[in-house]
Amino acid sequence: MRDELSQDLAVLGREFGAALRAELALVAPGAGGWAPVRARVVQPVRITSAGFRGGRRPRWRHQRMALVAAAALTAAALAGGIALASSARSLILRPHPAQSAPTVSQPAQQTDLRTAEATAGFHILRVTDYPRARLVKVETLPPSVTEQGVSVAAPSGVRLTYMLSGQNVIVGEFRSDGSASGATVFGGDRQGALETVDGHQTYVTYSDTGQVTGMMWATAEASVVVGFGGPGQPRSLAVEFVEHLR
Amino acid sequence: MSEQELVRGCLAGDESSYEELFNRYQARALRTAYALTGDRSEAEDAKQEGFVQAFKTIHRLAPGHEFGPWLYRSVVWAARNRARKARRWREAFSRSAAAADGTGASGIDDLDLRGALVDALRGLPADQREVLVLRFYLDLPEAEVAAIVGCALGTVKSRAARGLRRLASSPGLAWRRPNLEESVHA
Repeated sequence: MRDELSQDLAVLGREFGAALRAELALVAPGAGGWAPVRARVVQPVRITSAGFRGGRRPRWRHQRMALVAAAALTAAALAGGIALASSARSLILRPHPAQSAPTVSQPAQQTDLRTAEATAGFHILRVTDYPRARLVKVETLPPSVTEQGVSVAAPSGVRLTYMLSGQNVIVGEFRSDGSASGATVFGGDRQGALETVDGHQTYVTYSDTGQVTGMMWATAEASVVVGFGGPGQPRSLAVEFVEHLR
Repeated sequence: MSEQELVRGCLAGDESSYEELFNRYQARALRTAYALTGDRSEAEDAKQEGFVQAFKTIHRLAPGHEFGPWLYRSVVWAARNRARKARRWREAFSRSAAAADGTGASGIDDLDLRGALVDALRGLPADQREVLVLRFYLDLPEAEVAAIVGCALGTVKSRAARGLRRLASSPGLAWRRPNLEESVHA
């Protein structure tokens, strides 16, 4: 077999290149440009009124949907190229305690805000700020029609807002020293937090941010699971970089 | 602004230079990644990771060298890594994504986008696929391709030849010239 490209093969290569260019012309970058936010659907999940829990303890074994969600999270972690196993294990989602009262708050010193529309489904939204190599992964999880849940693992210097009906809900601010405002962080796993922001309550659950960060870029990453509205109800999720928190 | 000026701007921390380079290259980077992975979602990730890596290491880009090959090297590596990690879950992921809302992972049905050539490329060994995409889609010189994929020049040629022969024998590729097929198999 010849190893060098014959004239015919060279011609074939050029034709192949031209045909491939024509074919790939259909593949255009999505909206978002410099710091694109995109959504991918992983798994449809319902959150029951009892909530669900993925964890090292066997509580969720009796909750079928919890198992589905944990599996989906694990798959999502692999899909994202990050080892989110610990995050998935520590994920807790519970019904949103303030379903009918979206918090209205305009974030201070807003410098960058990316949003993406997503329909109900289990999504990963990713935001990358290239110059700083800050990567934010956002996963959204559909609750039932009347329930919402939020789970956050976030880097320092990032404020995450959940936009509902065009209004921002700040679910957490994360500082460079590893602390976070607006949420209570429990123990080593950083599991479970009931956040109060502007008088409204939002469930926020932290997974192990240290491990997530270590697996990804050197500085800022976040993995967020956000409960969206009912099937077919689009919501916007915003990930905001706040200068003064860096 | 020339590419060299943009690279210098990046080195000086000028974010607009980053953005301009990104805007110039993002479409080709995405399409390259798509040709390598055959999956829109994976391609988006590989593109992102490629850019991040290229920007993180841009200080190592030798003066006078083009940014494109520097970026493509990172995209190729990102695509390789993603393919390795994704192999086990891709099918299940696609099924669940389709079940969720009837679309592909990125919200766009990949099967609608993916044509016969990309499908045929997916059937090639990764090393041949990389060479074909870099050499004939990006039109990079063989020496540049060799540097990007990390092999000898002769290996690039042999991989290209083997890959083209396999592609030429793939069924349903409309781009083949009928009279060429015979000579390829000769």
